[in-house]
Amino acid sequence: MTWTAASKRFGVNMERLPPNLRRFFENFQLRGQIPAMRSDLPTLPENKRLKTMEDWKFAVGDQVLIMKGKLKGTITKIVKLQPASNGFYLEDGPTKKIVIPKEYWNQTQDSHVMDYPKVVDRSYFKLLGTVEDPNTKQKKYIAANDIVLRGKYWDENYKKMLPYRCIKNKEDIRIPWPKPEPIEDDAYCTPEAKVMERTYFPTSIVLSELPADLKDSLRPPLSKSSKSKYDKYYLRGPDIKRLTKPNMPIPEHLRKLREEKELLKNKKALKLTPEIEDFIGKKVADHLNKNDNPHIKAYIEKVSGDNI
Amino acid sequence: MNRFTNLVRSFSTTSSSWARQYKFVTQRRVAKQPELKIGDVKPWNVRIPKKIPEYPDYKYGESHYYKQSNKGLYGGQFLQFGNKISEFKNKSRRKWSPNVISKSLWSETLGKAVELKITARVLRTINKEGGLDNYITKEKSARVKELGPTGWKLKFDILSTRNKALLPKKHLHKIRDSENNLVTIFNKVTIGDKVYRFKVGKRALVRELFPLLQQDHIEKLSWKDYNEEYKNKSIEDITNRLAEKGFDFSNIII
Repeated sequence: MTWTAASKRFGVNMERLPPNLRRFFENFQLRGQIPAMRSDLPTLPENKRLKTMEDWKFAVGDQVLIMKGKLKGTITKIVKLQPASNGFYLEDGPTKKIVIPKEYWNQTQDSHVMDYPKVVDRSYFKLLGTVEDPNTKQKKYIAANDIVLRGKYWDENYKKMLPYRCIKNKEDIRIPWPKPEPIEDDAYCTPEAKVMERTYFPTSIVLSELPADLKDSLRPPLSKSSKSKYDKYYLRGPDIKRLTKPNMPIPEHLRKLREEKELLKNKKALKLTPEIEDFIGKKVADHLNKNDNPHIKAYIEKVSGDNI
Repeated sequence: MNRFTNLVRSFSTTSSSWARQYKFVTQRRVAKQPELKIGDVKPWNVRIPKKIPEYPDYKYGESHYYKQSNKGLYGGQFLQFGNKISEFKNKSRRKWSPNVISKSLWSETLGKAVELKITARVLRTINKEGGLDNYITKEKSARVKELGPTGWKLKFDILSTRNKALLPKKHLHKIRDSENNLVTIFNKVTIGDKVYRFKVGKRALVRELFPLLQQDHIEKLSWKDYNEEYKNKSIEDITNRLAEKGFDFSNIII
């Protein structure tokens, strides 16, 4: 995490404020600013700003015809875009006189008063294209009221796919994108030819020549950056310890009772041997013979079926 | 008519309709915890707590209704609602709250007074049962329903203290040494003719043996592997190994 990211996080995000409150803070901010530094056009929220070349429909270097003000009819160029207000700086465009404190002076500056280019919006100019007259073969300018984007092609100057700029209602006239100023290579730059040189030629579409474990070897598997929150997490011993709750202890008397029950459950009935059967029979017979009651004796004889 | 119904009740085997239902206790929904083992994939909805849990789960969970009952012994009593009916039969809503009092009750097992919020009805039951511990540890299912989360925790404390008291003492006895100090003897080991009276437990002996065995190993002997092997060995074996290595016992025996 960088400090800039942190400051962004803790700072007030103006776009989240309600419009009235935002306006209040913006006015408050303007009061502390030098008038010279104030923008001519209002700053726009992030979602209303133009981002891609397709959004802007104009680029730096475009030839334009000024349609408003004292400079009406002047042909000039777009020098710079101002993304904060969707505005444009023109080469020979309108200027304003501003007073600059000495702290902010340039090296060549010798006066407090200075001409400073004004930011203009899209309605201030029209895009110019050139058309060749088929008869006289003379080139002449054509100003586009509006532009539409049609199709796509590879632009070698910008090194990307771009749409054709056509004049609205006259779509056969295309206004090409301006040539950007060439970027000078740094001493440490890799030359373009070297970057584009092909060094790898695959022999098969199906089988890869790359080793299977190449992906793992590029980055240490245990490093923090290679871990994702979507990775599976396998539970370890300490985790299980934290996830399992203790059991309610069993009171001593209940434990004993349960043990006794368990013992009785496991107790198997012994099979009686003939000797033990005889012994028990004899004991019962002796007990019954002791009885003197004639009614009971008669009953026993009747039940047993033989004389004891 | 009333007499007749009472007569029928006396012969029936069903439970009395006057018995407490514990409706708000038994109808609570408690989430089922998954049974997890080492090596299982952690389910996305399971959070691993930072601390090891102290108490078992209460079967009926916590009450989401009349939440103050979770913090005391309320005996399954909750806030009740009804109507106040005037002379002209006008009905206006009212509520009946349980008679809750704060009381510190002496626990025989824990040996301390426990400060509790209890209802008067529960206090009466505690008096009948003969003390807080008897009330808490009764095993009837109705009592378990009455306890609530607080009573359940108290039950765990009481029963675990009772069970701990039943465990055999770790030390054998106390004797006086040459300087007339009381010394606790934890182990007595006889090897051959020699008698060792140890002032320390088995774990300390295992710890003493570790550096002596480490010297023999060319590769590093990890404590984990060593402890796995030696913690379950008998104290005689460990004493023998120490004696083999020429360990000086003078500091730990008497």
